Amino acid sequence: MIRTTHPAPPPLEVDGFSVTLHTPNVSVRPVDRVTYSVEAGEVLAVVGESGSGKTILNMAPLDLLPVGVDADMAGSVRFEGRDLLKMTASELEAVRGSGIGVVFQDPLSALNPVRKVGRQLTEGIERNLRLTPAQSESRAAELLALVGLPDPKSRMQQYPHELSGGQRQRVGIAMGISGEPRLLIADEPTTALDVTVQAQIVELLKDLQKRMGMAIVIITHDFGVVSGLADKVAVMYAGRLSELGSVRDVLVGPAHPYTRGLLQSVPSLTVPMDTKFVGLPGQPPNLAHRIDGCAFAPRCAEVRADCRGHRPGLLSVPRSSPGHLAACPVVVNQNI
Amino acid sequence: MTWLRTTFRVVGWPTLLLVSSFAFIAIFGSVISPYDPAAQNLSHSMQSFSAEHWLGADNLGRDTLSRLIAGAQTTLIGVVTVLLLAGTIGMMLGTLAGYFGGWLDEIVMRFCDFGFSVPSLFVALAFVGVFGPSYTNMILALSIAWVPIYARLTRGVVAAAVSQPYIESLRVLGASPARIIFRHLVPVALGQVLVYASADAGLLALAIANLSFLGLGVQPPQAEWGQMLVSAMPYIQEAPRLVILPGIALTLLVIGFNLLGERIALAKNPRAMSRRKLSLRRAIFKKEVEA
Amino acid sequence: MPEPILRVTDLKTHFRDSRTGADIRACDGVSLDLNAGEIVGLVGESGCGKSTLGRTIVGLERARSGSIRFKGQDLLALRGKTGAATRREIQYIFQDPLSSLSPRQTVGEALDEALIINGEGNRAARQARVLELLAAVSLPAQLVHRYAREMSGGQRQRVCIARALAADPKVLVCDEPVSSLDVSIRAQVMNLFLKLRDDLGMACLLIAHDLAIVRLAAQRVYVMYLGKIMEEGQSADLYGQPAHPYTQALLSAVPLTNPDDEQARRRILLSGDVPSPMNPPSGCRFRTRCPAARAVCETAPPMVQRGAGHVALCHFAADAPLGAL
Repeated sequence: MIRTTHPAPPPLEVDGFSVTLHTPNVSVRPVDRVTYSVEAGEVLAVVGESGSGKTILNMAPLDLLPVGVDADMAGSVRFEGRDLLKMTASELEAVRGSGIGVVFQDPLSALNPVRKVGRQLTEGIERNLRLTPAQSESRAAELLALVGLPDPKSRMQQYPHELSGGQRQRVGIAMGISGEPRLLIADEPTTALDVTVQAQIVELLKDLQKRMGMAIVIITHDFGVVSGLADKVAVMYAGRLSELGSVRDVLVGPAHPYTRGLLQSVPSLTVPMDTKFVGLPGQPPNLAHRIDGCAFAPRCAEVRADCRGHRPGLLSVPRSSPGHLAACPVVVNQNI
Repeated sequence: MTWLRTTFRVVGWPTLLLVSSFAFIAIFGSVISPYDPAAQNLSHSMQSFSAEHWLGADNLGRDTLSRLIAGAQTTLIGVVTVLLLAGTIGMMLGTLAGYFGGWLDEIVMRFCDFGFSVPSLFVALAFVGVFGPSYTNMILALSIAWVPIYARLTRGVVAAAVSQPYIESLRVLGASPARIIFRHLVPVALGQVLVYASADAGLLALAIANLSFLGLGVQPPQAEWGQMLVSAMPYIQEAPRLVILPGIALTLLVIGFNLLGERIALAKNPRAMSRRKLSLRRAIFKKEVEA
Repeated sequence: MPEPILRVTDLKTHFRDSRTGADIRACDGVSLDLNAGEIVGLVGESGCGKSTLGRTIVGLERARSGSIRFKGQDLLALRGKTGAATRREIQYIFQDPLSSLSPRQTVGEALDEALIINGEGNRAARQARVLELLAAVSLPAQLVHRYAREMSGGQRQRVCIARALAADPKVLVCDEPVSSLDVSIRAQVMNLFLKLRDDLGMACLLIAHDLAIVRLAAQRVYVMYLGKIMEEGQSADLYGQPAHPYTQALLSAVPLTNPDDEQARRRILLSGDVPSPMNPPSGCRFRTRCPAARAVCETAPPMVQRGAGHVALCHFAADAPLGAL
């Protein structure tokens, strides 16, 4: 075996990954054969609306689904070459501690309300980096300074409810990066925040990514966050990947009709003032039913008869960069 | 008949059988009872299990089975009356406190705090001490002691619902407080109160037996399990069945109510699926997807 | 110019903090006009008091002082049955449509109840009106038997609007009506507001934090910070030449979807968070976060007229804009 000729495996390779969730009354498939990868130091944005499966796609392999949800997973999700789906619970916990950091949408739910911020932060550091309490305390203060919280020493003596939303999310990010991860998964980290604070958090994530050189997967529904932060974009619809490409390819030259519709639905500050609001007709499909053909067909303006026949695979978009893929044969064939 | 099937699924047949047989006995007790529960027949005094008296007879020759049946009636009528009285008054107070807040809320909640700080049995004892022991007085006393429980429960549910946008929308639409309270808040509270009451019934049955055991509740010759226990105490060596049988009846009733409450509460917060159910769902999904 | 249908003057709504007993000055001397057939935007960060202002207008919060004149009557002085009938003409749309609908009512029952409250006694007339209301918000009639949980977010919000319309309102106060909805279905609800304005002459107070959405919908905009109006003006003026540093910062924080624009723009990053409304800064309330703050800002700023109806509460509002977009 000649290991040296192989480059190091990328931080994240998702290959044919599906998730099926079972509840007593219904089974759904929120993630359906998704394939993509994240290179070292790259920021991937997974974009989708509610119910697109973007959160389950990223949380299920880490065993971070809500308690009481039974998930069947198929395919593979490799972190630096090791399949997360084949790991035991304790191996997975070790990876979550140091290899992969996680930032949650609601920082309050990730923090214990009755324990001081500093204590919660040092606890994880002690466990994951095997430092003494004194060392981890000073490390925690460093982390809080790193995420831009002024006066970290006194912040550590506070309880989560004494912090503002933006401060709490900064603490959440500090917890996410406390194990010095090579991959940070951030689930809607700015959704609960005001635009002014959102801008601060985006700047912070950008800065941390450069300083720590880690790869980031950011899960969001907001293209505004994507454009300022991401290198690569994956657009999800009904549990499937509908478009994948560099941030410029996808946001400036979107190929899939869903991506186009979604981008048009975001009003900008530059369109004429008397224009009407543009959106997509209808609503996403019910994932409890089997979806034949393209999941977006019922809402699509470009729909053809054969769109409903079988599910379209990801195709290379002509006259675009090589890595730009879209799951729409209609658009791809038009452009050739 | 979907409601019947739902009830069956939620409660489960053992619990349903237990509770409904007690209910049947209480309702049709006088029809199925082999003897008049108060009728004395001194020639049958202390008779053991026999063809004439299936469960024997007591020191005064009264049929034990008939007295157990009458005791079930006494207990269940007491339980239902107390729950109706305490539930209604408690819900009224709790709804008003939760909806209007302010000083009304203060008064009701302080009353509840007082009720909670004094054990309910003490309240009942004091009441009976003043007004004398009788079945009616016991029911009134227990109702008073149980009101704070339901007032506080309702107040919590209503106060949470009042700040919900759907109640605020009704206020903006100009709905009267009466409409909001009776059409929207009371139904929400009622659901919670019924769940709680089903589990609480067992505790009340015990309280009735307790008070009667102490001679503060049902007076002889009316049949009641706690009272049966007391009058059988002198004969515990000679005829232990006279003590054991009412004890078993009381235990079964309490277990039945507790199971009922637990099952209903569980249906509201479902647990993870059993392995059998999960594999079933997997199979169904596979069939649907691959069909 | 006719008198506005709704005129709020120097309105103050304070809450008492249950722990310290201090006054939380959520809404601290706000004046605002709303004309018939006009959508007016009210923007600001969370905690600036914009929701409190909306809730006070519809009577969900109690005002400390000031006046709310609706069709020439002071709502704060109105009592009794006629008061209720007048108040009913101002309706409120909540942010979360799921919790604004009773989980125990079907759409038909909810609309029917709204009509009963509005005094429609005839059953057949109500049934016909329910279908009219659904049609007015472009929902199919078969939805009458659905429960809120069985519908999509966009459908739910349109049901809420239909229920508000049952009261024949002249004014709608909409508190973040689309922020809980998916991006692709927001247009269904926003275009409905435009239609209500154009077809029925409805006046709308659109409370939102999304400046791009407000820009397309509103003719005039108020910018609120810490319980006070910082700037008001016609949308074209306010978005074109924002005079207040706070407005400029808000506009510069609106994310752009084009990565090239996003990289080219100049961003005014505000440090920190909104101060506590229990103890707002003296002088200009924005001065603790303002990139242009100077010593003079510790004194109360003047209302500076920038153009017709364009006013900013800032010492430097008369100067050239700081960071034109």
